[in-house]
Amino acid sequence: MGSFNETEFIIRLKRKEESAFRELVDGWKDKVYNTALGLLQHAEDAEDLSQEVFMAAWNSIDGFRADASIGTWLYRMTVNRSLDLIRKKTRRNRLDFIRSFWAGGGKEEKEASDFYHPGVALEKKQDATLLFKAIRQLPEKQMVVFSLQKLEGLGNEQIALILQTTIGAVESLQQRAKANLRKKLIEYFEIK
Amino acid sequence: MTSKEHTEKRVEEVLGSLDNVLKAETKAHFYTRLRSRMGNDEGVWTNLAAYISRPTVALTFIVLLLAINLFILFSNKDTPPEDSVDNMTALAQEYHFERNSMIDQNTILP
Repeated sequence: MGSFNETEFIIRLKRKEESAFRELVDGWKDKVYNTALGLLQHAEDAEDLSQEVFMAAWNSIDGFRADASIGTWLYRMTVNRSLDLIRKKTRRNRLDFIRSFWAGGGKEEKEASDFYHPGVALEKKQDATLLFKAIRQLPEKQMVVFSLQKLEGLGNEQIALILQTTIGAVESLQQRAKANLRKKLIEYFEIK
Repeated sequence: MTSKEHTEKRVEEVLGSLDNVLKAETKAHFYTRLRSRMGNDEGVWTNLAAYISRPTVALTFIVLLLAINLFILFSNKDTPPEDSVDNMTALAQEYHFERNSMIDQNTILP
């Protein structure tokens, strides 16, 4: 979506032109889905969330200010909604754990099942699953930066725009994410 | 190869497992599914019903209703009885005991 006139496109969206919405969805659905999938690590949740992002975009296009590109806006909505869902799921898991504890079970907190990203080569599948498990344990911002860079292939400048922070902060988050992942993987292999 | 070297090698392999990863794509007919969902969600009443039927909203409403009831109940209990009201007069007025017409007043009873 490089050479088209974004201002005109936004005007068409604000006029609620169906064809403009279709263009928006066709142009961005895979990027939104891939970002959501990387963060949520769950195909159905990622599909649901992608739909919600486009619905929100359609409903709130009138409030869209051109201080960011439409792509940055969509990425930002995807990231924020994904983080909200992750937090919601974490809370639900904790509640389930407390409930089962009081019910006398005292089972361990439910762990998310292994995630297989469809874009990973077959020979790297096991390693990627291990890496995704470690990514899940990262602090939110580190997880987002690592995921956007590795899976979506975004540059630091664009990630900074999405997270509304500086490029320096993004670089720092990247380094900390890698250090934390390395630490977690070393622990895993040493225990193993 | 020492154990430490082996671990480091494996860590690097795992960290590099997402290099050159292909992007995931949505399933076919995404737009159709999206439009269908938008059609279902667009009704204001559907959204309102969904909001009201949330357990937290419903529970808050019930608690609020009970609180208002209790407040009214206790505030009525505290008001002093109206001594000045003649109960009999009030009763008579309510059931129209008083004679209204001349005929009624002059009725000769056996």
